[in-house]
Amino acid sequence: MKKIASFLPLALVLLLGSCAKEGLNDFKPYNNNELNDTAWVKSIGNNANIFSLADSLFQKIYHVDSIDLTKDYNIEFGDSLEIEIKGNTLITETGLLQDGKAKFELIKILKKGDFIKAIRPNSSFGYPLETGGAFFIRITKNGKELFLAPGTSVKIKWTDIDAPKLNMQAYYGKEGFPIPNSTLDSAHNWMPDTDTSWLKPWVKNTGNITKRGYILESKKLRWISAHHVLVPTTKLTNIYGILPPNYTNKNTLVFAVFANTRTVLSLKSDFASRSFTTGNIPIGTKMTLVAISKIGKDFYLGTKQVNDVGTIVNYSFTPEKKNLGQILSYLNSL
Amino acid sequence: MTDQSFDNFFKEKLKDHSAPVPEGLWEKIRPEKEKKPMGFVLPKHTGKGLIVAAVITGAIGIALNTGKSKNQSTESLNIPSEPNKTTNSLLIPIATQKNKNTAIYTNIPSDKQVPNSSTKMETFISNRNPDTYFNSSPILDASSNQASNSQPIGINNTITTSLENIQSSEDQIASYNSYHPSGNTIGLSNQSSFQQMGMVNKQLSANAHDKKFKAIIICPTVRGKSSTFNTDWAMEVYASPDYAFKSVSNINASAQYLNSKDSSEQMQVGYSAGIRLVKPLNDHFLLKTGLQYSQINQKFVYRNENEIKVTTVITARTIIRSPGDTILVSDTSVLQTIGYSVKNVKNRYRSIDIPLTLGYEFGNDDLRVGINAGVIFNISSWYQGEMLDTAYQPVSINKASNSLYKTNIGMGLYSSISIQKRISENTHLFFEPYFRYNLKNMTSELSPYTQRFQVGGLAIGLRFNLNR
Repeated sequence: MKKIASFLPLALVLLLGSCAKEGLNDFKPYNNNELNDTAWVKSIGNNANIFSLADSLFQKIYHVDSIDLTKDYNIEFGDSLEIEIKGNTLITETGLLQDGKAKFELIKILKKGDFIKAIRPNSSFGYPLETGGAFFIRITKNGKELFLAPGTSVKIKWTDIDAPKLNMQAYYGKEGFPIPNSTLDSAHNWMPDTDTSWLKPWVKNTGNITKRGYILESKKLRWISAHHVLVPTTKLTNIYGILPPNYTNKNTLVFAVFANTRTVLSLKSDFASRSFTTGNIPIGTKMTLVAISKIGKDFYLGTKQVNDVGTIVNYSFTPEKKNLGQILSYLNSL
Repeated sequence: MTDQSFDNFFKEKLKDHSAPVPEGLWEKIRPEKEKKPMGFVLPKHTGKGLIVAAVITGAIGIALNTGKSKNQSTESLNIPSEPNKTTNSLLIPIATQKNKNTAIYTNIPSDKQVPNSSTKMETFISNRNPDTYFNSSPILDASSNQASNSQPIGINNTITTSLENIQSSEDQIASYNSYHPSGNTIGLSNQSSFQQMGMVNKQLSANAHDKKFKAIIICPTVRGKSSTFNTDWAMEVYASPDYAFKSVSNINASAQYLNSKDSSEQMQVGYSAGIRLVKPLNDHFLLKTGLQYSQINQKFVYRNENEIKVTTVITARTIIRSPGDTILVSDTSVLQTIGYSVKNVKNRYRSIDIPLTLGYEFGNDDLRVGINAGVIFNISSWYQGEMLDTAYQPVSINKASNSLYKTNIGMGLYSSISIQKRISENTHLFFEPYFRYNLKNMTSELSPYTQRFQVGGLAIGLRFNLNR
């Protein structure tokens, strides 16, 4: 017994010595990786990822032409779009009439996905609109942007993808001041032209093919659109998109894509609830919530089908990592 | 039968008897005195003094503990005897060393009690009075000199002395006749029978005393003999912290891979434990063999970059469904955290071996120092853990699926230095720093490199004497 007792401490020391933690994965997060930044901010800085995300989505593919400022032009882009510009109607910011050559640039957005890519949601003062299409027209001379002289207009005739709505009217896009270089303009708002006569639908039958669209006489350049206010038949409510903590207002844009109207709304970030929200949604609206994020150099896309606005107003979903092409393809399908 | 015939009987039997000195007796004594040439050498006179002191101490012990003589173990007797000796023996002094109060007795078989005495013995016998005999019992007095032991004693005196206290009790002992082998009948009177019984008693007492006496004097010479085989056995139980030294040689792997592999592996303290049988060949040389379990520990550290850790989080937030309609929403989601993970795995290289070593020890019973050398035969080796593959990814290695390492690494060399300290009568504590050199690689033919471990350690253990 004494022998055992004398040997026991030695064995105990060895036994304890052999006991050690092992097989553990000691995880250490990166300090400066954006995925680990779960903080929301009240004021989004210009270097936030959502700006570069918006630029990535809106690829700014312009239709470019050159015009003589003293001549009348009817620029046709295929058979779906015609732009009629009168001569001697363009002035500088200070009101000087310009002549000579100028650069004409045009972007047409018709589909819901186009409005997402251009970050031009269909809302006016927070109320959802239904769109018939929108255009961005910019005429520059020597790099300086020109404006329509008072009392002049630019006529836009386009073929719409849907049947024209009778109550459409012209809306001008109000941009932030100064106009941001980035696509993302948080101050953007569609402002209705009170004169509804400036926008008219048209129908043209060519053989068995019927073309329909709108003719809009715009008194302004830059963002011009055809919209009408969605008149709700039900009560309105707010909706919230809730994402995992990695998706913050610094790296994520969330949109609500209506199913039955050509309406895309942007859900603004709500710092208090760490969620994305928008209001004035008619109860019962069917929609798809689309979240697009850029964290670091990685893009994420999340969607959520919503069929019961009103019963539930908060919708949680998790974006998945996608590449930019996949995201654009999805947006083009909307 | 008369007293004269009784005396003649013994005289006839013993007058020319001389027992040979057992072979190697003095050789056993002399090396004991002359040994300890290194380490702990005692002066020659000191050794003699110790022997004298031991004799005196033994005598005193005998005087004080005569009643305990029966407790003396017969194993301590060192009575050189020839084989096939019968039990019909008498205890007869065979030698008396001058100037020493020692007496050595031997059992002489009755059938060999034929006069065959040496010259010394003849002188010893012939000097005595024919009418007297020697009282050979050493119980008389261990401190008395030879002259007193050889003092002739008259029969009458002896009888008177020895029967004074027992006369009355022995009166009823019947007389009987004893037949001499020559055909003469020897009659034993009560008186002579008393005398004879007294001798027997003295002989028995001497026998008991002799055991005690010899145990003190002669025992050390047993261990001192180096020319005979040592029958001792011992067992060692030990454990050792080990540290392995890895050596890697490249065959066809890239240098970058070997660098990555090397930087991902850190040797750590392992251990060994085992049990050994120790067979002393003599006082210095000993053989050891047994069974040993060894485990070499290695820390495998691998940093996995861009690892995403997913954590389920529950958040509660207040949302406004419509003006004045606020609700609390609880949401369960996952939080992704990107970072790097450090994989920390302990690799274990285990083996079971049979060590076989030859050792040389010196010192005294209290503290001994030894050196050992030998071989270690591997019985089985197996491994568990992870390592980098050639794609720089961690792969697991285990006993079942392992084509990289051998399951038997063959033979290795073993050397050690041991220091042992006696902690009890039969137990020694020893410390044995050792080094093991493996002769073969542990990697198989498929491995793009060769690897082997050399192991150093400090074995700490106990040695138990199995003979006591």
